[in-house]
Amino acid sequence: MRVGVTHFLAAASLAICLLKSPSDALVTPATVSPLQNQQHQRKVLIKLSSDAISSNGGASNKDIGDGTATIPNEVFNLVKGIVGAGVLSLPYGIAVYGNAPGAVLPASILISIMGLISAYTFGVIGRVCQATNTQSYSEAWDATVGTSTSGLIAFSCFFDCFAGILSYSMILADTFVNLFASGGIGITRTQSLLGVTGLVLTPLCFLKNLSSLAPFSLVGILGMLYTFITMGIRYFGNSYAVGGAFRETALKAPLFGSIGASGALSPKALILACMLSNAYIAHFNAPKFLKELKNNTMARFHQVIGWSFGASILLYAGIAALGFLTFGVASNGLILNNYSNKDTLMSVARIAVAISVTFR
Amino acid sequence: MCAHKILTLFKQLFCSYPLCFIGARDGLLDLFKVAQKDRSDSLLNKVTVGMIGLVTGIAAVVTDLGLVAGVGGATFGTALVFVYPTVMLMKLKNNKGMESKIAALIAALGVAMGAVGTVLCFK
Repeated sequence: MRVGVTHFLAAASLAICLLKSPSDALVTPATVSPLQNQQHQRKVLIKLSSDAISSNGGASNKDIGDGTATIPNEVFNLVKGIVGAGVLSLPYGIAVYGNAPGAVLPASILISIMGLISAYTFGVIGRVCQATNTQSYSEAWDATVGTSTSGLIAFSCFFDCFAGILSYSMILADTFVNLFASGGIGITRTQSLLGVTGLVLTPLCFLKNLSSLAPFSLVGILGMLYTFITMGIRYFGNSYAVGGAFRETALKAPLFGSIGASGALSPKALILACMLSNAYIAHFNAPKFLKELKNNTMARFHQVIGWSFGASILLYAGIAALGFLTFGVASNGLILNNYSNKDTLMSVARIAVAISVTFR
Repeated sequence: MCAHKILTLFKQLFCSYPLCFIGARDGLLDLFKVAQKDRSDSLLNKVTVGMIGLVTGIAAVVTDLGLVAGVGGATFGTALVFVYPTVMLMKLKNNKGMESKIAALIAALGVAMGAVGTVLCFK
């Protein structure tokens, strides 16, 4: 855990440093469309406004923008937007290249680096939106790159969302198999999948107004926190170690070898990097977070990003480390599938994750 | 514009199942250039049923979540997070300062990581 805390502090500091950039860095492209010309005029106004703030040491008597969200509000919402159930596959990402506890160290470094780069590009989107006076990812793309490639963004979004719902369906199917097993009822994965799809997911997908689901959002992020804490209790309590209370009933017993940190030199470590590239994704929402931030100067926006991605890095590093240190190379693609069905705390975690995946 | 509509959907909740689902559905309709006025309830319902069937079918066969997360991240995850933002930044800037070089490096890293990562996921 000390390693995790150290990483968090370092990551938060580095994120803020990385995000700081000269305010005069953004200039007009050599060739611009009429739309971009208009946007350039707005951009100059924005830049003048930004310079005025800078010359005042960053202080201003009048708030910039019409957003109302405070920094803590934005940090909470952004962490909620970043942290998803995909984090539960990170222990598997470590197990791909290593099988000894030492493999956690390079993984923690990789998790931090990927988090920092993701934080930087999240900030870049905000800066581009501010410079072009646009309010969405796609509008920013159209204003800078052009509309001829809009389809690329559309397809990327479709594919990313599709991969997301596919992952969620798989997680829910596995989760309900184990939950029923905890209650002494045996069902197959296919039965679980069809049941949860027919009874829960399909009605949700036909909803015309999704705002009624908002209260469940808080429950979702608390569910992920509960899972993190429970994994910590099980690891530090040696519940799955030799002689542990749940060792014999673990769905996949812990297994360790001798490949530790050196395993990160293997090309297979890139699989973890690829998993992480999606783990921090919240970038479609960058314009929204900038717009809704009260007094939305870049300095304040960067504070939001630094704290949010710093907290997410800590959570990711913690869950990846706890899962892998508990089960080693036996870590499942969904780490909850390793824990015993007799483990009540983890059964509650499965319910929490199911809620998180469905309603977050 | 597809992504814009998807963003609108993301306003109240983030990445929940139904939102992700609707994002994918609207993205699909946009890819096929189905105009908003042509998106009747009947059409949306048919596409919804089709997509639920497709997702459920794949989820029934594929059991390796790590594979899904790896391939998804390797391809469009890296593009959305690493490549597109840095491309936008480079297009916006006409100087060749240090940040442009860093942006180019991150974009190249994203492309390389996506290509290698996708291949490795299937090995």
